[in-house]
Amino acid sequence: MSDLALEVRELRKTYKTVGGTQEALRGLDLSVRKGQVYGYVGPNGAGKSTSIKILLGLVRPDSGTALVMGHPAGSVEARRLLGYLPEVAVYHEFMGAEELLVLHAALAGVSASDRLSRCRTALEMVGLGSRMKSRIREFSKGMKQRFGIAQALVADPPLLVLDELTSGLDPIAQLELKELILSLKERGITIFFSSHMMSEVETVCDSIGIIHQGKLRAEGTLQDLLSIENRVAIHFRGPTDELAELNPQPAKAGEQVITVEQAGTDAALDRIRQAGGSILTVAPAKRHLEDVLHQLVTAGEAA
Amino acid sequence: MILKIYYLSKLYLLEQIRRQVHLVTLFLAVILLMLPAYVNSFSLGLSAFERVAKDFGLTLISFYAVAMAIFLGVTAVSSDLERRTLYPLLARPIPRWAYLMGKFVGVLVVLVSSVLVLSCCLMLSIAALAKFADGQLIVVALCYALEASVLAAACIFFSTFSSPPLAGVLGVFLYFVGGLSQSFISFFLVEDRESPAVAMLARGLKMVMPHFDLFRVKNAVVYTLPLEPAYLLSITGYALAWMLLFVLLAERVFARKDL
Repeated sequence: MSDLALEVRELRKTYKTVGGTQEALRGLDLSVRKGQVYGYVGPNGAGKSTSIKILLGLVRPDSGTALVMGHPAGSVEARRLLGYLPEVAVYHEFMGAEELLVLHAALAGVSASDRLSRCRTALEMVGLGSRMKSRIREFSKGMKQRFGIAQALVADPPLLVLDELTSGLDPIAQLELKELILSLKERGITIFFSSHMMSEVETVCDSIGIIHQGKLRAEGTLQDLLSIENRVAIHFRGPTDELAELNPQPAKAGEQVITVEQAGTDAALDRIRQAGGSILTVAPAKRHLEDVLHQLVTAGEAA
Repeated sequence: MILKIYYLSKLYLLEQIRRQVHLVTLFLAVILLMLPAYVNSFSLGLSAFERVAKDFGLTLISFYAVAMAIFLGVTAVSSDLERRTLYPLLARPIPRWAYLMGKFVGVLVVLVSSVLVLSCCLMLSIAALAKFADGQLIVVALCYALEASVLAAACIFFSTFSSPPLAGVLGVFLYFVGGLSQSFISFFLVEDRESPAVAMLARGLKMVMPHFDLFRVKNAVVYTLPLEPAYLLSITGYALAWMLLFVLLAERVFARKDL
């Protein structure tokens, strides 16, 4: 049995538009291992939503294959094994949280005897245990997102597909949802997670795929994608004027950081010590995910 | 799967109650309850009063059923799509045909229950003055419900490939052309206006459309004519066949639609 939760090969989709056609996916390849939190990032119009809709069977691909937990994407079997949070989560707002969740549980095939307990567990898991009887329209935006996660979790699926989880939420709500994702990860749930928020992706994801112009431009662990080949970052405290030739940059709380070629590490360390500085950490140099995305997008557009 | 269709219908019904569709029905019910008293004030005599009240009341019910059928049919799927409430539902392990069936059953329940309530109101209000409850009124009203159900199924089908306004226009067109009687075509289009080409077009279009005129059995109750059970059975079968056809067509289109 495959250890892949999602497997996408050579997926293509072209939409007909008023003026002609628009290629949304141009041979997308993607692999998500079971138990991973996979961040799916890319600029607007990159093809994220189209690929997620194909995984859910809402859009039919022109060619290629997509498997969800080993079943063809869009099939009833595949949908039984995933929970989905839409980008713009709109629910029947006139209904109570528990009432609507019971209905979703029924549609997901949860047996009548388990429905209520599953709904309560899901609502408690997302921190809405005290608001089970509240109508959805009484919820704040953050609470609606939490409810959305509860409806995705209600059938206890092994895979969650979360489309733009924290878009439009305040920083506190974002933080709370990040913590929720991490707790779901601890339970062994595979999470496929699209986002524009790079900081969020950096903090919760094990692996990242960057899509641009309908194709996956980079894929790997966070460390693989963010580390800069053959460069080392040295964090230190000490005089900066005397080390101006190393071009130190301010880091947190009085610290400085320099990045040097791996081969020049020892020389740089000696130089800092000679100037009376104290070394704090020496680690492979890293970029921010924004920089990686920007670089890939720029390269893609230039090509 | 039947249970899932039931839950989808339930969700649809709750939504319609929230949209206060029943308030329109109740408003019309009050009119129908008061109608005989109004008609009676003209002192037409009991027989004429009954005829006028039944005729007018049933016409009102028929128009109401048609308007509701077009409105509910056109918005059943498109409103879910527009508000994006469709996505979390279709991400569930439900085939699209079951989703459509859930919607259609919900529409049928709203239509049939509304028509039943209205026809009962009309029957009771006429009975209050005539001292006789004519059960045939309900049978005739249910024939209108059958007509409206076919129209609603057609509108659901139209809404799977066109925008809601266009689906509504197609529904109205279907209702008018499908409802043209042979005598209307012969008299008004051929003899009166001398336009055999238009008559031929109308006949041709009517051939491929549901014959809504078959459901209009109002005269039987207005003029106390017998309504043959065999006829009622045959138009029920006819309506079911058209509903099935439209739902199947809708499923074919909807299953291939990118959402």
